[in-house]
Amino acid sequence: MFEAAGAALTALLQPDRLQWLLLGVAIGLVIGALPGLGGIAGMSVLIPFVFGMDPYSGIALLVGMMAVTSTSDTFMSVLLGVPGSSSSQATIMDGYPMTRRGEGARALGASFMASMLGGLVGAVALFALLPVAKPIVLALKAPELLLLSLLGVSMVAILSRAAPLAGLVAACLGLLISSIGPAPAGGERFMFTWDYLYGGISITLVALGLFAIPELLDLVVEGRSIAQRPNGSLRFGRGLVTGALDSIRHFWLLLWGGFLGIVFGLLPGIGGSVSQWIVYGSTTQLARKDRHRFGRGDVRGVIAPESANNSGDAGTLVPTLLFGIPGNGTTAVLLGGLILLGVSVGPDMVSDANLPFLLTVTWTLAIANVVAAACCFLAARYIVRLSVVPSRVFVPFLLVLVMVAAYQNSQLWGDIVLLFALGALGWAMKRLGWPRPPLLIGFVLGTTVERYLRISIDRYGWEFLSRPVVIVVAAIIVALLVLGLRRRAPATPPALVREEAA
Amino acid sequence: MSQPERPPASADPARQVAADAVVILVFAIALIASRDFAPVARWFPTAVGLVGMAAGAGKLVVDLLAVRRANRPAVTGEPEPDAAAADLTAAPAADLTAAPLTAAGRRELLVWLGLIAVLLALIGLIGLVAAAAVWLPAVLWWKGKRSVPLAAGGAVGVVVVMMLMEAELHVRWPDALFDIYGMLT
Repeated sequence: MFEAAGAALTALLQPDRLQWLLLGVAIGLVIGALPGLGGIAGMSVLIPFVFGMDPYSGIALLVGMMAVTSTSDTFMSVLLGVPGSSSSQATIMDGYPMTRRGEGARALGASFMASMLGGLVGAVALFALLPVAKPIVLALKAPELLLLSLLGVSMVAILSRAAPLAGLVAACLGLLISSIGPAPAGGERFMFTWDYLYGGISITLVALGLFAIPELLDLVVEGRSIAQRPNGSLRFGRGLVTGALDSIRHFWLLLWGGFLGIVFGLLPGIGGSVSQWIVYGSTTQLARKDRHRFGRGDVRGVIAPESANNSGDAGTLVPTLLFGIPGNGTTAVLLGGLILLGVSVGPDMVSDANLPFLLTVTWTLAIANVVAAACCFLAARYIVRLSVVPSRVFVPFLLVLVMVAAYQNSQLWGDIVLLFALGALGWAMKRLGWPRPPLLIGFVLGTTVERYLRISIDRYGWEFLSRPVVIVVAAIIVALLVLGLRRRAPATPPALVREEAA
Repeated sequence: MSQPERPPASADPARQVAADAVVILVFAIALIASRDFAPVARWFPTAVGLVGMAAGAGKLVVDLLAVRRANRPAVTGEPEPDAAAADLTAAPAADLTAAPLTAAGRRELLVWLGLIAVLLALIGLIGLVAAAAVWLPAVLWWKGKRSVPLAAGGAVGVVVVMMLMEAELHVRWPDALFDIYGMLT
């Protein structure tokens, strides 16, 4: 296997293939930095160009783009509080408060280092998983996937410790919104004769509406820059290095996020939108003494989800390449690209003949993550200055950009209408102090929970509850809920209040 | 302008009660509407509606108790006894909380909502690219206090970037309801 890995690296490092990898990385960085555009959009743009291309070059282009969107999407999430893509929502929780405190560069430094190391962890894991992935993935049936989805829902209890009832109501609202449109078992719901809703509501709209619109409105109302403590250029540079060192100092968090990212990436239909919240919630639980700092700008709240994002890309490639089961929307489009390249995915991918090609994917992931992190580090010291630009100057531009991003969902006016309707809901929740992440979690998991519950009951009856993995995960869920509700977040310590007010 | 700041909305139990009532109403409407769905599609929204109504009702009770305590005349300087109950609905640790909205802030909010409405109307009339080219310099000049050349330069930059996005990334824009550009040309 190591010989094959060497052959794959040699094949990839040929200049004509390396240039495609770098082009994919460049496109992925741009697409990731634009709010609302993620891997699916990038993959859709690139697919027409790979027809007739050498398979190694094609895979370098496609996987190179896919691997880095979750690195550059951090710019928007950290600096502006606008989710760059669906997999960078949890980063807002602590990244944006850090920026408001004048530590945007530190948050970005931590994020890029975590993304790079998380991506490398993912690449190594992909390499190690290739021989053993098949029995793991095939062992997980609908009941296990249902319980893992419910594990994500249980994060609601952790993310709304100080307001459990408001969090529960918000999660139910998210579940309700997720049921708008087509039902998994057939039929349509809550359409109210509006044809636009026939396809359901996109997570992009929900994320932009809940987080972007309220932040933009509050910024222009307050009439100031995002960072409350303007800094000089030297501070920006130092902040990047400090953040990068933070990631190395919290190496166990990187490994934890990377591990969970891979595990949830392996599971078709779960993906990065869910794993980042599970990683964030579990990280707050693991921090025993000072967990009250989470949500107020703790660098650990940036490191863990960012590590999970990038390692998750490697996880999603396992079912895609070995079984032809796409783990998420991006890999579904990638599958189409592989067909255009003449690559037949499936168990034969691990045969001696195809192994070098498969390992090219692993190397592409590793190299793309390193190149992307280097590019982001170089660009960050300039882009971070956005945080000290007066809001009334950049918010109008950003407002137009958010509308454009929302419109790409279905390219109908309904996208704009829903963006502002959800924005009004998000703004009201923010003013009322209701936690918004539980609504997003409920929305993301609603369809998955409904689909897997129905399949589980149809296939196994209620006996699915007696399956060993189901019992273990159910016990973890109960423990998390009990711990989450018992350990309510303490009031902000006076020292922290002074620190925030400064 | 020197109006005293109000406490954040999240600390106002009366507003919480009003919000709870609206949420319960939403879940009730969802429950009623879900009766018309196909049986296989009905159970999930029904279950969510019932749980949501129960949670909303629980929160309503807690908030009503908080309102009652808030209206009780304080006789001592000791901390309010409802601190623990209020904690259930207070701003959570893990969220981005809002600063208090002053009277000036409310006025500013209305102005910006108006500006957004104008942008949407312009998009409906002349399409997003043309609307942005008109709206952005105007807002930068009026609210951003930027000079006219700078505002115009910013607008030109935006249009160029948008055109590049359309050409290279296949991004599309909201169309005009009335194709004025087409009529003029």
